[in-house]
Amino acid sequence: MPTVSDKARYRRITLVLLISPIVFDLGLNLLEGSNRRQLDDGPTIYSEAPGKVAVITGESLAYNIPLLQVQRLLEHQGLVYDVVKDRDFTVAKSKEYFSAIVVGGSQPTSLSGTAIEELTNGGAGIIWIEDMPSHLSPLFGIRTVPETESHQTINRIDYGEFTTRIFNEAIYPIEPLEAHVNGWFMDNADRRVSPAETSYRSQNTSGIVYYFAYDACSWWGVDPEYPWARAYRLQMALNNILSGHLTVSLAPYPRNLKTAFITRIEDVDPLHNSYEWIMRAYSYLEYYTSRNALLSVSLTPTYIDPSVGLDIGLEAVESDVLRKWLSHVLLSGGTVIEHGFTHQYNGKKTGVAPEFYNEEKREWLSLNEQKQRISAGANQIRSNLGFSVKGFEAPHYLANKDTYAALSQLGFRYITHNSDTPFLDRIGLAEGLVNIPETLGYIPLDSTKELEETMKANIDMLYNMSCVILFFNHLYEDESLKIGEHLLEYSLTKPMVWYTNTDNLAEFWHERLNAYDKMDVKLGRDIEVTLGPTRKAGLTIVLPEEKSIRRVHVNGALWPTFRDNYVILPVLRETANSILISLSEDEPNTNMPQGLTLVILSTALSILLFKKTTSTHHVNRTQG
Amino acid sequence: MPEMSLMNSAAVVMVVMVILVSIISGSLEYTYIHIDGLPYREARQPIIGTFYYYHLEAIIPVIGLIAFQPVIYEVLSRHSASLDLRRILAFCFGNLLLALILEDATWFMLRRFSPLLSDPLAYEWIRPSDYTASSLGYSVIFGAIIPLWYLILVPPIVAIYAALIVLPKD
Repeated sequence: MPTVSDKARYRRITLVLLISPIVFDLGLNLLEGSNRRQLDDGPTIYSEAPGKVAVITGESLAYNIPLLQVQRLLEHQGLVYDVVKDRDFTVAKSKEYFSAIVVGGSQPTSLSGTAIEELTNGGAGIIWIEDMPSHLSPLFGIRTVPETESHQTINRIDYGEFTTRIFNEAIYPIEPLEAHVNGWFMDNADRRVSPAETSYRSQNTSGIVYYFAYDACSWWGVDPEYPWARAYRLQMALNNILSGHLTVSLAPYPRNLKTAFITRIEDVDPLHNSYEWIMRAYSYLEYYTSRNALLSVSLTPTYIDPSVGLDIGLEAVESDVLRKWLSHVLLSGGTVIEHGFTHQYNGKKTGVAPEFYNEEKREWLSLNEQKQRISAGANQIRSNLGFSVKGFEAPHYLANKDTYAALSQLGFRYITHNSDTPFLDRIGLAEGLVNIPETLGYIPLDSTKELEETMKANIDMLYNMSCVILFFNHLYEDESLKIGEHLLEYSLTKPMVWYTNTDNLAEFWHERLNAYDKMDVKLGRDIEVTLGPTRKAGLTIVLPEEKSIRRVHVNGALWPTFRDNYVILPVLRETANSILISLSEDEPNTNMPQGLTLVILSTALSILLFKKTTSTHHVNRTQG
Repeated sequence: MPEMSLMNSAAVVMVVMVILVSIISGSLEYTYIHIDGLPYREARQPIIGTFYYYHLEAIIPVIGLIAFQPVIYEVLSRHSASLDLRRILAFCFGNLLLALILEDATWFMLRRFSPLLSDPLAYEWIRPSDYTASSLGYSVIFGAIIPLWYLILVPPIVAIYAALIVLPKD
């Protein structure tokens, strides 16, 4: 028989089991009521507007750069848009959009004033760039005026925080009626001549309308001081007209990162084997690696100087030290980009001339010739480094459609050029190619502190625009090494930056574009986003900052990776993937009844087994 | 292997070892098992309940091997009576259940208190939408979400350890 002390011990153990977490669970749940569905004041029903932007063009698009730049901006932002002809933009059609950008340079003379008025009265924002019919100007709170002599003296636009130059281009004089002036045309004598950019909201319920009295979509990247000022203003205007709307966008970088920082080591060839350059290169690599940043190296695998009969390939003994450094770059997570096969043509030496374009004869190499040269360079890199290049940088950025076709046929995935855009760029390239744009310029010889400060100011602007920050560095002198390090250090002070290489970004952008090309947004009780397939996890759907996501389903299954106003997506395998985002209620604790039943069963069984075991033991002991 | 009792130092060492292994496993999983820069649990759906392929193929077998090490020893050395073996088996089973909870909780402790820079859900404890909480539901205890499957496993663990403490050695 159990003794008195044994009985007391059993009671204690039973007590322990009884006050096991089930008691906490049930009691505290009753107190807190936390397992109940938490509802807001009521589910919000969003407008059925599909959340698309209309890009309206006229018939006479003299050159397509403005339209291309608007498309690049919208694709980079991950917004769904349609390009609509002015005559097709009717009142009924306008209901399909929650904002519009009008490319005024294309002379959208058939655009219905009623459709525009309906659009703004319905709360949609509009950006009008360049030429505007005078009868529409009152909708923008402005009045068009004739050009005067003073307009001939305009040389820049003053935006307060920065200025941007005016080049040999048309401007459109206006006077503000009720509109707010955001930027002024300035003359040589530093006087305000007329408004360059205005914004206006006619009533509290109507949308914001912006007018750009100059071609805000052209001359990007030309101003040496603030190359992206025009793109920045356009993007700010777009952000403002979208504010207040339930905008759904696909972020340009993974994991909701704000921007990507990339450094290219430029014009590296087999003669980069001097002790000084190699030491600098190792020091730079070490600096980057210790800060988890990567390098991308633009490599020309053969050096030629016909005047002295020099022809050195990457396989040469003299290139041993360079090959070793390149291997270190690859091992540290960096990459190598092919920068032409020889970076020269005819009797010129490597580096001083382009490769595919003969500047004297003004002739391009044929598709086959280009393909042979690109292929020869890629093979040389592969055989010496064991690395298959996926990126190409045309010498002197001189490439034509045959270059892109050759790259596409050879399986290259991207180019990295300055194509006068800071945004993701695939338009005008061959199938399967994207451009990782060079946006921050380069560090020239004898650089000064002022250059470093200008580059830092442009880092700020690119960061605010969520554009890729990419500069190149030749590492020709210690000063360029130091400036490069300072730029990385400056960037490291900013949050949410992706320190990556060109390969990684290109691969991500390809996957993002696959998903984006099928993107569709439906707003109802929940937000339903449709996306194409992607093999990369990390694509991010972003809602306006003030929104708070409560529940997400991906292809019908509950998805956990969301926070505040964004969802980070898994690999999407279906041709069309459905992402259902709910803002109105928490994930209901649907499996709680089953779980709770199991808790009760588990506790009861545990108590029974415990009692049975202990009593059997005592019976055995007693019999023994 | 000495006979099992929680009063026995060898048993205490076993429990400590299982705790350490499960904490290390949870840490390794959080720190190193990633996909496209994301912790794996935040980039893929689990295969069963809250478990991924690496749990089923590596982590649980390793933990199981360590948790059941006393049984393996006893069976191989063949010097325990069947009653003792049952007791050791129960002890090992309790260890395994404890390890499963600790491995999972360690992952979320790290995300909450020492997250990776690349973790988009850094500084978050278990959320209702995490698979560990949604698979069998959750409860909120002192403001923190606790998956109910933890609470399902706790009673048998307590019962097994308690029985081993209470029952004197034969």
